[in-house]
Amino acid sequence: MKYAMVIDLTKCVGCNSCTAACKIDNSTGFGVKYGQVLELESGSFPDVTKFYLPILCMQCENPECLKVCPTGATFKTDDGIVLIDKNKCMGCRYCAAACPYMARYFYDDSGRPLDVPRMDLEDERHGTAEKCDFCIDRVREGENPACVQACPYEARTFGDIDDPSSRVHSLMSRAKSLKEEEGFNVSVYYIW
Amino acid sequence: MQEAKYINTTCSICGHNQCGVIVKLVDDKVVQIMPNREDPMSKGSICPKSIASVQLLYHPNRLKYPMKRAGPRGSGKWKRVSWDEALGEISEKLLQVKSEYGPEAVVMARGTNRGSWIRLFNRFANSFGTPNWTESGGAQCFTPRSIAQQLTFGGIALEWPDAESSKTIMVWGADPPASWAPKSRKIVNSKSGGSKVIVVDPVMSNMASKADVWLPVRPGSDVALAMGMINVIISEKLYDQEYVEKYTVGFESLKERVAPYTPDKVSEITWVPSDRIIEAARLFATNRPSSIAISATFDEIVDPIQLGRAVSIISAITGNVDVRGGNIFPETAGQIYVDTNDFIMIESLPEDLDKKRLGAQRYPLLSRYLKINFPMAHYPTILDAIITGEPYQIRAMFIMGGNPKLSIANSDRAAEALNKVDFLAVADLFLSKTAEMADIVLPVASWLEYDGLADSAQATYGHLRIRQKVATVGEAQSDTWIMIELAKRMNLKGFWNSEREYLDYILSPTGMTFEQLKGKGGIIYHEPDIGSKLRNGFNTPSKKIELYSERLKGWGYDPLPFYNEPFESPYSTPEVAKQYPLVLTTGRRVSAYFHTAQRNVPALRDIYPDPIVEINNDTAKKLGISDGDKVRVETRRGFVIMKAKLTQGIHPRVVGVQHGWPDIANDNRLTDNTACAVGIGSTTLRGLLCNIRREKQ
Repeated sequence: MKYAMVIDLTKCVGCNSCTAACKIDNSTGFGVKYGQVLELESGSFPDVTKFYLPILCMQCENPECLKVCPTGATFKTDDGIVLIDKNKCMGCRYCAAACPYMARYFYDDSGRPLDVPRMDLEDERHGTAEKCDFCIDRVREGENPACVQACPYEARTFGDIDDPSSRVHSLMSRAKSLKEEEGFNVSVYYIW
Repeated sequence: MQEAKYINTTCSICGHNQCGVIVKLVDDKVVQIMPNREDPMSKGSICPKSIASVQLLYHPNRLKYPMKRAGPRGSGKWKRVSWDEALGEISEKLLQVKSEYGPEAVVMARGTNRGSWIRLFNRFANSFGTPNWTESGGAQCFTPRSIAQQLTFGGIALEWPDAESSKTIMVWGADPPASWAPKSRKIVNSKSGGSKVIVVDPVMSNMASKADVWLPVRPGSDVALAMGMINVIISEKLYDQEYVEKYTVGFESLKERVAPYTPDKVSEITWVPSDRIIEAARLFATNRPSSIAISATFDEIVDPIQLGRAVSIISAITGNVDVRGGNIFPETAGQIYVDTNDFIMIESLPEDLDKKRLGAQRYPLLSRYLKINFPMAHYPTILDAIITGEPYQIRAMFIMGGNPKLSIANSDRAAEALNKVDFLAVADLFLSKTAEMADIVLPVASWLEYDGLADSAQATYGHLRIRQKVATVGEAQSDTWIMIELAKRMNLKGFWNSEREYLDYILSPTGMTFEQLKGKGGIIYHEPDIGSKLRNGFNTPSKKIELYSERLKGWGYDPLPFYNEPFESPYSTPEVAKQYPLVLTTGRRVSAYFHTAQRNVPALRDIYPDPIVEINNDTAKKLGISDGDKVRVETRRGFVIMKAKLTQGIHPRVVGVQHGWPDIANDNRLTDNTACAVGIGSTTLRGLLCNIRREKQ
């Protein structure tokens, strides 16, 4: 059993519905985005191409963040998800520095614009590292992660990669990952 | 903790798309908003605005009860009052102005559509008796492109690309991923199935990222581009000869008119490479069926009617109107049940008052005389009347769903007018920049807080669905409720006792009440009868598609489209261009905001935290501007300060700024409200001259 996500970049138009759903569902504080959408372009005017790249914690099999965690707060579950034990995390941010995908966050209120009040709906988790956990609580209830559920274009597919009948398994033949050569052995894949 | 409840409803955060959504409640609190993939219209489309409406609903700054000014205007001092007192005072004031100065001294101004049926406010104004009903959109949104399409093929087919069945889709002056989620979904699905996509946009937009052919048109020169494409289609004989002969009039005159618009000539005007113009024209005309998706650029250039006409003609001569996979004419569900002109009670306004409609003499396409549009007053003319007292003094203004202090061209003048009017009442969710100026503010319900109908003309594709109340915030009430209650107090004809009675009235031709429709699943669908216009004739005097418009000719306008250079440009005002050498397009949209709203919603602001100006890297380098720098953008009217985003997705001589930000980042400080479009009065928001420089960081 190993959870994985495949994102079809040919369908992503950068609408950020995933980012909003992630923020609402995980009650993240201002500036904390477990998932976000990067905008990348190449070429020069007028021969330009642009594409959108959603990124999130890649749930590495060999996570750099886990290696550097001095307290053992970062750990892996049997179904392949990297989690943080908030009781053990002391907020040293080694993990954020080590993550090759810039997927770790540490809440800091200094970036909040003056006209955006803090809401009760934002859980600020002061003092610990934060990141995407594939919405593990929802997943164990049989639901999809919030970003997968929200995508208007159904660009994201989530499931058990070890299950040959799963959609995510069937997409793997076309899927690629980021920094594949580094051997982190990620669980987030892309089609482009 | 109680068990979660799931309610199917329709979003109205933008008032247009009305996507089907599922609202999850726990302990009667809204906790999540999800796309409803079973919804027959939207099929799972949604946007960040809808998803983050949880935070909008429970936002600490929501207006929760009516308030009255308790200090000088704009002082921020307010006193809580009851609904009875607030509505009583507004009614009394409006009736007093009506009896002392005449009903025309009251302006009713609408912004967005937050409730059931956009036309209820017209009815309210007409029943009250003022001709001075207007919209922030008005001549800037939908009206010009609707008129242009009605003149050409008697309906608004360009609003309805049958994109899922198209082989080629041309998106022009619109960014569906940012603003039209259901249409965007159709286009992206079609592209995944092998369709080709052409995007006309000065900036490499979200949609342009999926384009097979991108036409980065110089802002404001779109009509020339359209004429050039028609030229290619005709001169290369790529048009549908049989369709043109059977279903159109005026082809020979059109052929003559577009002859000078050769690809080379058009390339000079529009700055689009000529081979790309040819490629797009050939693709659209030959890889059929082809459809077109448009939006507000068609209402915001110097002569918008010409653009709506010219692009309608591209669709027509290639045989793509009223065919599967082309642009179609679905029945617009909710709105077919009641005749619109009857509904807005147009006849209740006496002719002598109608003649006093501000701006309608100068911009007759906005008037009722040509019977082509819902009559409205011209917003910039109203603001002038408030400031100058000419031709008569406006005494009171009631604004629903609008924020003219930010959204009207040359907004400093709008602010001056709002400050000057004797009495100002504003209904909104928050104390907006406009509401801050009011004498009385009314707290309005969001789309989660009232029962209603999803029946927008532009995006429902023949569906009528219900919206359900799932939450209550303070004493907030829907716009519909507010109008009904004010109508009671002012004894206006043609209103109802309750919102429910109103909804039942709208639904009455279906033989169902709101409650009965809800019981039956809440959806009515009319399959579009594609091809019915080809069989029975188009809704035009000739019953055909009018490439040449006798009606326009009769009203004193050119019967054929033609290109007008923007009122200021490197070519029309070279002297101005010396000081302001760059071409500016305002009004760039992002998916997280609807016009001036939602900047205060944390989850949304986190996605798009800053007002952005897009600048070509090479231009920026010459001016010493780096990515992320604060940049001052200046026109002859004023300046804004925004954050630089450097890109190769924009011409080195073009600059694009976002729309809807407040204060020093308000793009309408840059726009002009005097050089309004002939006949229709639109202000130019795309195609101005500016300069930029790096601001002290």
